[in-house]
Amino acid sequence: MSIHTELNRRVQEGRLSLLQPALESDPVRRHMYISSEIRSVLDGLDDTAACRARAMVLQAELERFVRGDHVGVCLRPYKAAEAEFGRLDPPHDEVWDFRAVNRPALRIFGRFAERDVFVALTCWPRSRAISWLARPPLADRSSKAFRDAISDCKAQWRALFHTYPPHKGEFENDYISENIVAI
Amino acid sequence: MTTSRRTSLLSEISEGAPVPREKLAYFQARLQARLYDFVMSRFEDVAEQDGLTRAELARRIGRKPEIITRLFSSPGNWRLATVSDLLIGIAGEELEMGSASVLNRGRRNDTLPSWATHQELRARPSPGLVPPSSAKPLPALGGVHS
Repeated sequence: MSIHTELNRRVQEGRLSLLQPALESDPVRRHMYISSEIRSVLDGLDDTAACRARAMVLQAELERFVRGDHVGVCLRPYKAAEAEFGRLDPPHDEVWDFRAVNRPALRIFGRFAERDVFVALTCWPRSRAISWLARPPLADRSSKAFRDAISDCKAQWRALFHTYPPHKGEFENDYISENIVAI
Repeated sequence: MTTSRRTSLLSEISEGAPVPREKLAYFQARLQARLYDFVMSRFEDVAEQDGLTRAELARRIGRKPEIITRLFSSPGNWRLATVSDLLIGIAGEELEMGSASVLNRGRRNDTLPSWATHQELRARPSPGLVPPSSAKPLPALGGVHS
């Protein structure tokens, strides 16, 4: 058994799906698996125009990874809060957040399954509550909500992959093979 | 649901109908992303060919190095002025104008990972494009929060 087998099974069970660019002409050069929670956010959690617009902007933000575009990556916790992909504290836990900075700002927590394969698990409001997102805002990185978000991400990973550890690396290109903007 | 992604995303555009706000927002974010990717590619090229550094770029456009690092972190806060400043600083260039229809483009080839066996993915609607009535609430948080 491998992490690939597990990924295939979770997709067959409907617990993960692959993010596909909305435009059929866009290339797929990296892979992002999304949880049912992220899928729900992208589908639009309510009928308001603001919610649906944010969902589509998030789609566009996440597609950048899938298309193989340049992405800002920071391996050092606390050092680059605005890098799109940041490895969180403690680094050995290999919990990452994707900073979707368009307003209202969101954070997507997840882990790499292998190089160029990210598993996006949970979505949190960055700094202010969002009516359609049933999670508290993270506020600063020392907040309880931030610690909860990291714990929750690890718990969801375990629920999906049991004993399979997340991908580990030392350098940015251990996680993303090319088009990295190291921050 | 069998509605194709192309039909869902581009239907109003192809029909000349009013384009919903969320789809306009998608293309706005997409443009922002493409500009970022282009400018980062130019920086990468010039850095490799001529040894341009972020510090030198900062000096050329009168910004602090940490501002360049922040701008390079993500396209989220970019404005048109940002693109202009960076391109001038990186290579003394400006954007060439052009546009292309989003309709009638070719389809990408196989998009699945080499290990994927799940054919049902091909029939999935695109995220963000399902009818509002199909949207599901978030799952329970599993007791993480007190």
